[in-house]
Amino acid sequence: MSATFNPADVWLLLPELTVAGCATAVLILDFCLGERVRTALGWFSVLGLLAAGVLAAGQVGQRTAGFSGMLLVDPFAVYFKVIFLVATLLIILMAMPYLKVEQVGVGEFYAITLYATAAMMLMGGAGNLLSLYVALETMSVSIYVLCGYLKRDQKSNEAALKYLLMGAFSSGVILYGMVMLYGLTGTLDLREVGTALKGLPLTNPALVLGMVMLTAGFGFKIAMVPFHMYIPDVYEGAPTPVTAYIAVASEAAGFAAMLRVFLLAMPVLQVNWTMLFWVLAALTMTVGNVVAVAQTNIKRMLAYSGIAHVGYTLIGLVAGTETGISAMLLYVLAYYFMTAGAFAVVVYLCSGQVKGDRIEDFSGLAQAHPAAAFAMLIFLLSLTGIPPTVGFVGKFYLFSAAIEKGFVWLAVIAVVNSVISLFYYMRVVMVMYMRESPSRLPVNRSVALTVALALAVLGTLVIGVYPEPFLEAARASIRGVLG
Amino acid sequence: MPGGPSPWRQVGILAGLGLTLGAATAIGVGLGVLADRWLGSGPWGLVLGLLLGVTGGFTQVLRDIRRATRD
Repeated sequence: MSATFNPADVWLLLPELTVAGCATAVLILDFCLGERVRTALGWFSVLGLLAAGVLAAGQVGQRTAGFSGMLLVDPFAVYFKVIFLVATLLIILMAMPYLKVEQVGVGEFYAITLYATAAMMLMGGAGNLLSLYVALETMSVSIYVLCGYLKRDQKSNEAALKYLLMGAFSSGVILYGMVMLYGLTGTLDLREVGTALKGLPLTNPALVLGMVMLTAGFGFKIAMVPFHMYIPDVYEGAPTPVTAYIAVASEAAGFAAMLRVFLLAMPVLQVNWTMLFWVLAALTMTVGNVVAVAQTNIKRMLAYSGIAHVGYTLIGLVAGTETGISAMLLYVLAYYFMTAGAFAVVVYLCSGQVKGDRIEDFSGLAQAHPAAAFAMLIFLLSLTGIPPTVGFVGKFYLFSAAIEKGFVWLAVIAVVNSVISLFYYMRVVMVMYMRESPSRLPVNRSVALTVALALAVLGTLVIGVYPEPFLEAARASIRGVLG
Repeated sequence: MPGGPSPWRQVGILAGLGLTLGAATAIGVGLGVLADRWLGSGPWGLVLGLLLGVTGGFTQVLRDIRRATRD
């Protein structure tokens, strides 16, 4: 296979280059112009993301491969690119008031976040195990740095160290799995690996090793049980917008990578990994929900709730059909509006002394700030899965896909888990609406945060009421990968 | 970094993490392969052994990290 460099392929990278260029520009502007342009830099990053979004939308309907098959531009890649861009948009809007309160420099924060986003976009479009890995590492290293962004805060430093070490080891495990696949097939290209594996017997130990290592490695990245243990510590210690970024964008990227690898490179093993993911999905949902009940720190509660949602999303992978996987893609979209919104409300409550970390900090929010409380109510209803929110729609499609394929017990476990989750989500609602606020509640008012909250509420309700176009986009994305 | 009494103690604990993970995985795989031979359960013994080995390795690594940063 000849690897000639075709310069025209660079045009395929235009969205990623825009994001990376914006990041570099932010760094330079921050260095040259200093404190005066703090807020402007945030809005500039938002502008860069919007420009990249327009360029990515221009790639809709294309189905090409560039750089000798290392970069794929197909509906799947475009779907995820748009997801990452909108997620980062929400995060940067959330980060603007947070960074002001924490009194830390902003240039590096926006720049690193944007670099991580560019890396995620490359992950979504990876056609080769190696380019996937490089993009994965770029994203991971950027996020390690972001976790430790509050240099003077011990918890932030600890979170960064834990995430670094666990992330590095899990990358090693993924690499080991990739090495097994390469050793068996002699190629790194995902589609070619898939074809080459067809001739091998399924009890080949190297093949099993490769599959399980990849499951374990990606399991760490997306916080699947039993690989989830470092997640609550990291979520609690990292700065709130970074926690939201990990919960939302990094997991979506993990799912994108996992879907590419499992559907393109290992379709021949589908029977085996369906069984494996059945067990892991059931375990993940249950552990996530049950442990979330006991939490008093809202960030840890959202961490465990995120783990539970990963379990629900994996049901789509277990179903394995076009319906199932497109339901998965829709749920990734749903999940990030709900979760980013919930974290935005936590940032709203962060104002210096009160960090907004504990559930009690939400007491009496409904009296003091009814709009914010209402937004939080919408997000919590969506997380539980109550209509007419996007959470309900997403779960409905996921469970139907599972039942269609005969996995009725899995759907039952999922419904029982949703009922358990009702308890801890509604507890926050109760605290907001039925408790008195202890004193005047200081909040973090800012235009950017209001925009972020409004976007999240809009996303949660609009997609909940009118999901068809989004589901169709998800289906179109997956058709290219499965077909 | 938390300013503990001696950073070298931290380095000592953290330096052993790679070996912990590798050893735990290897033991898991070994037990899995033995179980397969003994019970004839196809690749599932290996799968289970590998998963348990990796999980155990990571759990121990996480505990070590917590111990190192707590000092």
